[in-house]
Amino acid sequence: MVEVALGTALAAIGAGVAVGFAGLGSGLGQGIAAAGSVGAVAEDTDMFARGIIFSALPETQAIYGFLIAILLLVFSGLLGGGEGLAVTSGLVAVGAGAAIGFAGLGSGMGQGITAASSVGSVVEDPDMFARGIIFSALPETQAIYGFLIAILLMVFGGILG
Amino acid sequence: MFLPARMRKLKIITLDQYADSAVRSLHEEGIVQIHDISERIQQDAEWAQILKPSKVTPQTGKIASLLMKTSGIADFLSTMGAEDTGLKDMIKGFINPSVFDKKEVEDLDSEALIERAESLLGEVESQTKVLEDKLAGFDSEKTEIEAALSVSEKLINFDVDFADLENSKYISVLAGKMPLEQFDKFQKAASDSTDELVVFDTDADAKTEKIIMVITLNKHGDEIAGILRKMEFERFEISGLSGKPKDLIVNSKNRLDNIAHERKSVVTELREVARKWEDELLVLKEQLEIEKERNEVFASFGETKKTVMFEAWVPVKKQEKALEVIEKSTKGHAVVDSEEPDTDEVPIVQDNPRFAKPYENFVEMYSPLKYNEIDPTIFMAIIFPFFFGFCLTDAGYGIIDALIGVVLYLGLGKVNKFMRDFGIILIACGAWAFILGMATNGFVGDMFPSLFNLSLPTVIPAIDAFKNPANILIMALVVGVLHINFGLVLGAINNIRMGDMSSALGTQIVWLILEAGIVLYLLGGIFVGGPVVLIALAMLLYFNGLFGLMDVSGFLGNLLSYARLLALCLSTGGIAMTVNILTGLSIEMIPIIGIILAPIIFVGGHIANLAFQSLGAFINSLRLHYVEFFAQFYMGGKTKFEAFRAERSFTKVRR
Repeated sequence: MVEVALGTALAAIGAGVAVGFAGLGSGLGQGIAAAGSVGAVAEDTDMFARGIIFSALPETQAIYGFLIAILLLVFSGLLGGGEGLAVTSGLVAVGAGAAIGFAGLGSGMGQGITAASSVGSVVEDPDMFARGIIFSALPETQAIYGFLIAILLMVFGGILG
Repeated sequence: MFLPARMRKLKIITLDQYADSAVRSLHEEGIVQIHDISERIQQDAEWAQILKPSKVTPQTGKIASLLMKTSGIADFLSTMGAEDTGLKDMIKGFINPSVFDKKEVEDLDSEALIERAESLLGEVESQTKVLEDKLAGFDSEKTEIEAALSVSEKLINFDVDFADLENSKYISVLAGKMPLEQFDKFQKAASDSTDELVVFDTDADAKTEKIIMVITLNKHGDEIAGILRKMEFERFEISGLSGKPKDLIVNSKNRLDNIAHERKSVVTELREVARKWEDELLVLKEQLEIEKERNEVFASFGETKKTVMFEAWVPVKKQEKALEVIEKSTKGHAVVDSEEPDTDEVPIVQDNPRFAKPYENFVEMYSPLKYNEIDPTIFMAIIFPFFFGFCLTDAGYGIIDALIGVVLYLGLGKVNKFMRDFGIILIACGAWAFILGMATNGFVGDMFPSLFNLSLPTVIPAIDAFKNPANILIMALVVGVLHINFGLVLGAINNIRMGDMSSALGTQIVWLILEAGIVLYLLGGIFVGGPVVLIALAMLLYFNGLFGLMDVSGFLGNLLSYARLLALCLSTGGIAMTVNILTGLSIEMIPIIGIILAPIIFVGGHIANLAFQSLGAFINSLRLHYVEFFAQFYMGGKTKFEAFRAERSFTKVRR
C-alpha cells in the first residue's frame, strides 16, 4: 500500500468533486437534450444527426471537470508519480475541484434545456440550426468561469506551474 | 474571393413569342435567379401604367396534376418494389453506390410533354390498376376477417352458432364483456327490470372480467342495453357472422393464410411492373417537375400586349454567358439592361476557391452573408480542420477519420454533393489530427509506449500532452487570442468599409488597444502599459456606456473558451489510455479468455472513443467559429441566391 500525503488525499477529493459534479450536470443536460432529440427524430428521421449534435453539446462541462481532475491527479503526484502536496495546497485543490464541479453542474443542466428547445425549433425551421447552437452555447459561459477559477486557483495555489 | 460574388440585375424585355424560348434556355443554363416583379407592378403606379402582371401559363394546372399522379404511382411502385437489403448491400451502397445512367430525352414543349405523360401513365396504370384493386380487396377482407376472428376468440366458450343469435322480430341478443364486480350488480338490476331474459356467462382471460351473452325479448332490448351501458359493458359486434366460434376461428385463420399467400403473388407481379417502369417514371417525373417550374415562373413577369418583361440576378462572372443565351434564344429580339444592385436586396452567391467550397455550407448554416461584408469561408477552411485536429490530437484516430473521408468522397460523394464536401472536410480534419497527434505523443492513446514499448520519434517533448499539459493550455489560449483578434480585425474592416467608424472603434478596435496595453504592461511595466489600458477603458465607457465595462468579462470568457482545445485533447488521450490499460489488464489478469477478450476490448473501446471524440471535436470546432469567432465580425444578410435551374439527375436533353 502506497502512503498518500494528506494534501494529496485532499487533491483526490478535489478531483472527485470536479469530475463528479460536472459529470452530473453534463449527464442531466445531455439527458434533457437527448429526450428532446428523440421526439424530434420521431417527427422527422432526418433530425438524427442534428439531434446528436445538440445532445453532445452539454458534454463540455464533463470534459472540463475531467481535465481539472486529471491535472489535479497529475500535479498531486497520484498520476505519474512525483512529490505529494502540502495540506494547504490540498485544500486549494478541493476549491478548484468545487469551482468547476458546481459551475459545470448548473451550466450542464442549463445547456441541456436550451439544446432540447433548439432541437424542437430546428424541426420547425432547419435554418435555426446555427442559431440554436449559439443559444445552447450561452449557458456554457458559467462553466468557463468555473474552469477559469479552477485553473487560477491551481496556478496561484502552487499546484500548477 | 474574400467577398461574396459581385452581382448584376438584368432587366429583360422581349417579344412574347420568344419569352418561352428565353425561359427554357435560361432554365437549362441555370445561372440566373429570377426576380419577381409582379408585386411591384401592382404597387407602383408608374409601372402599372406600362405593364400588367403576367400569369402562369394555361398548361400549368394540367402539368401539376400529371406530376402528382406520376409521383403517386412512382411512390406506390417503389414501396412495392423495395426489397429487404442485407448489411452487405448496405455497405456496398455506401462505398460504391450505383449511379443512375442519365437518359437522353427530347426537348419537348408543354403540350407534347403532357401528351407523352398521359400516354405513359395510361400504359402503366393499365398494368397496375387491376393489381392495386386486388390488393385493396385483400386488405378490406383481411380487416373483416380479423374482426370476426377477434370476436370468435372472445366468445370461444359459447358453443352456439352465430347465425342463431341474429336479432329477430321477437328477441334481441347482446354479447360483450364487463368488469367482474359489475356483473352481480347487472344481474340484480336486470332481474328487477324483467324476468324475460337469459344471461349466459363465462370468465374472460383477464380474471377481473366476465364475458356475457344476454338474450331478451325485443321489447326489453333497449332497457337492458341501457342498464348494461351503466355497468361499463363493452359490446362485441356479432351481427353478420355465422358458424360456431371454434369453426369460425379455424376458417378465418385458413382464409388469412390464403390472403397472405395471394397477396404475396400480387406483390411479386407488382414488383415486376415496378422494375419495368421505374426508370421511365423517374425520367417523366423529372421532366414534369422542370416543365412545371418553367410554366410557373411567368407569374414573376410583367407583360404588355406584345412584350414580356422580367428581371434576373446574375453573378458578374456569368453575365456575358447570360446575355449570350438571351440573345440566341430570342433571335436578337430582346433588350437587356444591366444595373448595379441595391446592396440590401441582392441575393448572395459565395465565391471561394475549390478547397474552401465545402465550408460554404457551414457559413450558410450560420446565416446568409451581407453583400458587402467579408466572407470568412476561406479562413474557416484553414482554421476549422486545425481546431478539429487540436481537439482530437491522435494520429491513429486521424488516419481513420481521413480514411472515412476518402471513402465518403469516392463512394457516396459520387451521387451526393453534401457527402463529397463532408468527405473533403474529414480528410483535412484527419490530416491535422494526425500531425498534431504525432507531435503530442498521441497514437491510439499511448498504444506504442504501453503495448509495444516503443516511442514515437516525432514527439515534441515540450508539448507532450500528458507530460506538459500546461504548455498545451498556453498554446490553446494563444491560438484563441490570435483567432479572436483576427475576428476583431475582420470586424473592424467590415465596419470601416460600411462607413460605421464608431462601431469599428467601440466594438473591435477598443479590444485590440486593451490587449496592446496589457502586453505593454507585461513588457514595460505600469507606466508604459497603464495609459494604453486606461485609453481602452475610456473608449469602452464612451462607446458602450457603463455596460461596456461588463463586456470585459465576456471578452475574457471568449478567450478562455479556447481552453476547451486542451480539455478535449486530454480527454481523447485519457480515454484511449484507459482502453489500452484495460486491454493490457485483460491479457495479464484473465487466463486464456483474456487473450480472446483483449482484441474485442481494444477495437470496441477505440471505435467508441473515436466516434465520440470525433463528434466532440467537430462540434467544438464549429462552436468556436460560430460563437467566439463569428461574433466579432459577422453581420449577416437576408437572402441566398437560388438559381433558376433545371435540376437534371435522371435526364439529359438531346441537342
